[in-house]
Amino acid sequence: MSSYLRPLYMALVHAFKRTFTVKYPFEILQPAERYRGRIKLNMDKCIGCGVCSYICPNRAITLVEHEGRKYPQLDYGRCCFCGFCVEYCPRAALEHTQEYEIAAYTKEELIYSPLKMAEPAKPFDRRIVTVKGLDSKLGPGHG
Amino acid sequence: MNLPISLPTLPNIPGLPPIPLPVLPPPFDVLIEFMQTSEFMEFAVELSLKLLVFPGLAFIMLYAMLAVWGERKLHARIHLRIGPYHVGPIFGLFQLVADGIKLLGKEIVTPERSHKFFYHLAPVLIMSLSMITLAFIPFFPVGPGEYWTIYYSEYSLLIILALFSLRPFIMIMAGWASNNKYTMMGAMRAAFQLLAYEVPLMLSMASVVILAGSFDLAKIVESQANMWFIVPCFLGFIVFFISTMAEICRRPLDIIVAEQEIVFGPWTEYTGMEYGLIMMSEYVDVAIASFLTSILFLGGWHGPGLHPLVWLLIKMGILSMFFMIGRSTWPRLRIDQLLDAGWRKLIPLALVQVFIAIVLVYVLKVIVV
Amino acid sequence: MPIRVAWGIQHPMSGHLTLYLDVDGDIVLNTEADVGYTHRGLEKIAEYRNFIQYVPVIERACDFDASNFALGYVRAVEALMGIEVPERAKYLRVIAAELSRIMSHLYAQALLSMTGGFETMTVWSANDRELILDLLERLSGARVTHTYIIPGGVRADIPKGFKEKAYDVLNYLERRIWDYYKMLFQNKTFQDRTMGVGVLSKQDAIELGITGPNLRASGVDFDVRRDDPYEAYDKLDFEVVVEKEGDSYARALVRFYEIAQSIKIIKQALKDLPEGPIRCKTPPMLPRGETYTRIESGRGELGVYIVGSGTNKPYRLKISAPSFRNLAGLVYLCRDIPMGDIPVIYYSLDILLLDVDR
Repeated sequence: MSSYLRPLYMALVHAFKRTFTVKYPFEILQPAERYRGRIKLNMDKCIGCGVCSYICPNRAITLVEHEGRKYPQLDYGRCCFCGFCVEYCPRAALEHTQEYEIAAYTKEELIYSPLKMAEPAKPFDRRIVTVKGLDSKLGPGHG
Repeated sequence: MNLPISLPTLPNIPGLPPIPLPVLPPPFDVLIEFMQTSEFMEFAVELSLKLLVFPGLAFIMLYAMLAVWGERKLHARIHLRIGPYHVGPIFGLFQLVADGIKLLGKEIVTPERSHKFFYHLAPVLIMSLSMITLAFIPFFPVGPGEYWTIYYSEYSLLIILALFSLRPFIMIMAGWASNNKYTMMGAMRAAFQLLAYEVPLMLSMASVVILAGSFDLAKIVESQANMWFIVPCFLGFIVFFISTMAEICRRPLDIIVAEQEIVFGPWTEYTGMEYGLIMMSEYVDVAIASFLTSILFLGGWHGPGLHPLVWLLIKMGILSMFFMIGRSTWPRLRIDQLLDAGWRKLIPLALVQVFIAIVLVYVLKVIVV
Repeated sequence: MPIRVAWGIQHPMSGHLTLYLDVDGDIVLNTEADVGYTHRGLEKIAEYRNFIQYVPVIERACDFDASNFALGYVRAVEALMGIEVPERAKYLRVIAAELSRIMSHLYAQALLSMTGGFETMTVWSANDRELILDLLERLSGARVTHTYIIPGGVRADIPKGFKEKAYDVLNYLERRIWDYYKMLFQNKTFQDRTMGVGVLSKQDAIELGITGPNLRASGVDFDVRRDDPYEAYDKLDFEVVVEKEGDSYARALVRFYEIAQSIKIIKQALKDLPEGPIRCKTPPMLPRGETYTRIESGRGELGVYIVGSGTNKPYRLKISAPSFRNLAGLVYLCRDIPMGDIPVIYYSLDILLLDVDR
């Protein structure tokens, strides 16, 4: 009999704990420092060598002409956010930001030209929550 | 003929003779005369109050709204989630309204080779069946020997039992008319399950009838004035609770609507407002089951101090909450385990309860019928 | 008169697998499995990617257990090249692999409780999986497909504050999984649903080629981490969980106890982490030759067979996926059972169609 009633007791105990919900999109979960988000280009440092294009597993990066020099153009429809281009760039011209909300309505909008890639990271404009309080009485929660 | 009332006439236009309205042949003139008497007017007002306010349309809508909100909130809090949040004053109270509007906007699909008449009839019937059952339950006394019920009958418990027995037919109708292998199998399982749990239902009701001495629900409540029937009939209470949970197909005994996990059993092919009707009928069923349990075992409207209706609603609310907690606490039973529980475990318990009731009334003469 | 039902793809509970069932009343007489819905040609893609570029691709072969699959492939490449990674990298790889294993087992438990209509356990397991994903995000940079283990070592060292956070999460999780035990494994209805269902005897399990926790639930005491140790497992102290009954309850229980063992391994690895480099140089080309290596992933034994060609792309890569072997067990078990048992057996064997089809 107790094996029928113990789950009932546990369920009722949990009804009074903290909720674990992140109220996305009104709140956002804090990404880690080394989160691999959108890739940002530093146009002064780029030398147009093409290593990023060579190493990309999905061939998402192609080099295009812009003001006489070659810069990478990234197709986010193909990018898998592995970060090899950032790691293998010899001049550290590419870096990860923490943005990940880059959805678009058409596939052409997803191809980021070098100027668009050079845009700085937008700061988060919503309330940021982190996982906190791993207290086993109240349970984990976001706050 | 001489009528004690005057028939209405058209207004006087100067210059023309007074034109009376046409005299209706019998029996219509007698009918109109009857409808203008005060007894009929009182009866009509009371009936429309019962049909539209309590226990009719307004109560069902309000209860369904609260039940949907409460169930989803409770279910969510047990899961450490929030539940309905955006629609309504206290965090999602009007979720049923939002869902209803959404369902009204969806297209009602008829499968190609289904039997159209029975396919569209089934959800209407299941909703009507649930609501008709509410017509026979007495809710509170309004005078000596008079109760607030849509139709007062001395055999109201038998009528409600008969209405419970009609449910498998409607499920089979829906499952067969949908022209789908899954729904047909689901309908067969529904028939097995509902049939299996009718016998413990009847037997646990029988123990209450023996203690009370009549099939009339109002008299059953009156005879609990001193002691609620849950005290001598505790086993019967348990059996009745589980049987009603199986009859209205509530989790954890709802394998037929979770056929191979969530292809929804006999109701698979329904969309739009027909699906809405089926969902509503589930909540109305929970209301009926809570009302029946509190009337048969928990003393109905008896209680110190407050108005009888308030007591009935409090008891019914607490029982509804128990139906809803069961949804998140236990996994579903498989169909053969369900049938096994119904035939082999609940019937002996109910028979023991009937035996105890007979002993208490006729042998020990402890309870006077 | 048996009718043929497609327990198929367009079904809320079937995953990506089609099972053709011959059903008579409520009893399933016979099944046929029809796989291939998510075939992406990963083995052929390997011939057109060099060995570093292929790591993100192999992680997508099974994205709930990503680091273990990557580890299998990377070990095969390193065995072909004949290099050995530094000690610190070995311990970091063990940490990533064990975190990935906990993730996979929690997800398997979530899916198994979903089959009983028990959404409570699903949501609780998914909640706690969030904490592990948070740890993995701090370590590697992404939640699910980590791309952390590459040929030569690992990509980055542990960040500041990782050890304290990891100890917090792991201590909490060690206490929390006993809540699961009380809610799920001691729940009479769950026991009714899974005990005695889908029993694999020891002889059957060995003959069919079942691997992983399913094998250990049938009484066979075999674990690649202990019997054929790789990375730093020979220096770490853990137990191999074995149960005897071989039914679905035993399989779920083995996974549950393995979560506790993985927590123990991670704590030891964090404590014993040696100093040193995290990456070593690899030769630029794959030498000619062929090797076969195996590791223990969350679902079972993963074997990778690679044929080097002298260039930096392999000539042939063959992945022997654990779920493919367990699928034979599913087809063998789904005979003469009531139909409500099929989801329970399917999810207790922890078959994910992504690595059946690759």
